[in-house]
Amino acid sequence: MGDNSLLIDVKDLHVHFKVYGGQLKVLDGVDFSMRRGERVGLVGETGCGKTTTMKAILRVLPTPPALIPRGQILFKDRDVLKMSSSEIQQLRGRGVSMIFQDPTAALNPVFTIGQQMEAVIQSSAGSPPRQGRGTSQGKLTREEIQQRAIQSLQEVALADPKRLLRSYPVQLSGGMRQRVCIGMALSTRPELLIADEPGTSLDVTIQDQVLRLLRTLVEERNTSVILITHTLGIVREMTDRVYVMYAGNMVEVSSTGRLFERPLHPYTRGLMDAVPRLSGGGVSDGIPGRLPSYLTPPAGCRFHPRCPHVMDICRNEKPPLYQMDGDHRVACFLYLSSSTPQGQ
Amino acid sequence: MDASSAEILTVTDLKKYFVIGHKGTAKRVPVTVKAVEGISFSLQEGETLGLVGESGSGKSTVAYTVIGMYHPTAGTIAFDGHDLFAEKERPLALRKEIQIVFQDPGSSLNPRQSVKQVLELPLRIHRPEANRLEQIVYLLEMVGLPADYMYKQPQMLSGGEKQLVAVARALATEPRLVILDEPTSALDVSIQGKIINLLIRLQQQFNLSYLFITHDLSLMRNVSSRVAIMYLGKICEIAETIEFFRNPLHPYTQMLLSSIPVVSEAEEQFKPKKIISTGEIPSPVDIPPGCSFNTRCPMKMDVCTVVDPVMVETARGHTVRCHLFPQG
Repeated sequence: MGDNSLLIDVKDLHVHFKVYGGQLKVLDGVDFSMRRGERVGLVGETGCGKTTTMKAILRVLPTPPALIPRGQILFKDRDVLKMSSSEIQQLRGRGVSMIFQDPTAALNPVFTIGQQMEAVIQSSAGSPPRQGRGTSQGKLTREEIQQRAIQSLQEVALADPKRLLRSYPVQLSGGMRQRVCIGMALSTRPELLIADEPGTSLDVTIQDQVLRLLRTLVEERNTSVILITHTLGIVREMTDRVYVMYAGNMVEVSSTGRLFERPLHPYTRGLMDAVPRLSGGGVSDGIPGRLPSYLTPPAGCRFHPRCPHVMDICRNEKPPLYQMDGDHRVACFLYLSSSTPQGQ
Repeated sequence: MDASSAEILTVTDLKKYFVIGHKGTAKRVPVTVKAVEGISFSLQEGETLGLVGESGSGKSTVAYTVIGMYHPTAGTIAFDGHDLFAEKERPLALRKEIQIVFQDPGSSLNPRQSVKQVLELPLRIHRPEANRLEQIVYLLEMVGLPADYMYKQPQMLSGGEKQLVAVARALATEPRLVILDEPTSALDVSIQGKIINLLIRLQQQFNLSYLFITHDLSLMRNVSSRVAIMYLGKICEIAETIEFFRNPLHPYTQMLLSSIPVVSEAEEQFKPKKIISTGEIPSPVDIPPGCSFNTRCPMKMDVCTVVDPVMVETARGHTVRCHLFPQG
């Protein structure tokens, strides 16, 4: 297997939504790529298009309201936008797993943990369970399925997995539920794990436990991870590279260490300054204004109405991603002279 | 902070139990959740006391009891010397003095009312003599919203603006104590600062006292003058904020502080030595005997599973409830 070949390559992705009175131009030329085994963070305010980007990659956007007028999404060099529905089904089932913010909502309350885990393992193996002997083509017997479920629960450090399989979600604590979700997501051995705010609904000490566990597991298996969050501290601890998103654009991309040391985009800097510090010294006022309407997004750089460094050019032209040192790229005209724009 | 060190709120041995069901068929034994199990603290006029704890630790129950939504099972709460539960129904004059800002402004504002209607109600009840229109304009101005916002409905406002309206509503009665129940945790960081700084400004302007409930310790560090940490219905440590972050004593507090995700190496220095968080938070229906933290504590001793420790003052204003710090 090509070890660090591209897993996902999104180019110039535009996603619009048809609504009464016009089109919401949500994604406005998003570029996003990641290699196998990479752990990438995606940060930005609520409504900046993080989830829309992920949904577009998994093709779960309902396409009457959503439109993809332009762009390309490659998953392992295959064009996701041109896949047939059975190919998509395969991609979602085996290639990609997802962990959601709220484990309580992600688990069905009327089925036991066992029923839900077995369904996942079964469908990923691609066949209904059969009594008796298993066959060679990845088909699993009931015992094998149960064995795998138990193993998955052990991997996420849950005690007494046999009893757990018979329990209902309400019988577990929040941290245990999220660990069940992680176990379930990883039980299919996905190549890519999308974690959408995996710790936000948990308490700090439990969040720390769950994230540490998640990190060990994905490191062991070299699973690629996309971590969607707006908690910058978690991104710093969990990822190798970060994409910062604002109003449907990627405004800054960098290795995690460099971004936290030297954020360049005024939006990223505003976001960092807004995080209250343990060292004290008061809280910054944050970024003035609010996310623009996608119905009539501002011309030029979409951040210009809130930017403290706005220049004339920002109002008319959209900044490309400028290449800075190393793998650091930033979409801002402030860096026009200190770098070379990247050709598409 | 104005240093008029009068105690405005005194909570003494507060207990609040909820019956959540019954066990057994012949003898129906009630199953209770001890949401708050004997806590005491006080709040000085003009200060901000941070109440920190994980979900289910009882911090919101404390808030709702102070505001009067719950009646305490035992213990007393005194506001400026007056027992809040002396009469069956809390007198209007006391209600006026204590107000609350809830976590989610999306559900704490009535979607069918305009901002004007939202702000009118407390004025009509508590300050019938005031010119309402004038006051509404004044309140909006105070939180930095233009006067024409009074004709808007909540769904036309952003999350931050809704929370500003909620702050204006709380201040409409001219209270002296405001309970802030996670006022920014439903908002983005980029907006959080604006709300927090407004609250600090208003506090200075009107000498307000805040009971600030949160689970965000970094935010707490920047906002409150004193911190109380709750775990499973009990307070385990109270200290001045600066002292608290410099010298956290309770093992749970240390675990809490070392679990905070931070944004820089410099910030890591402010965290205590890494105490690896382990174990699950026990269910509040089934609290372990002895110290309730013993199931997760890295320093657990034999005594911890038997005897519940008591609050001990280790330094001036710094109290901790742990067997590592024996009495006397």
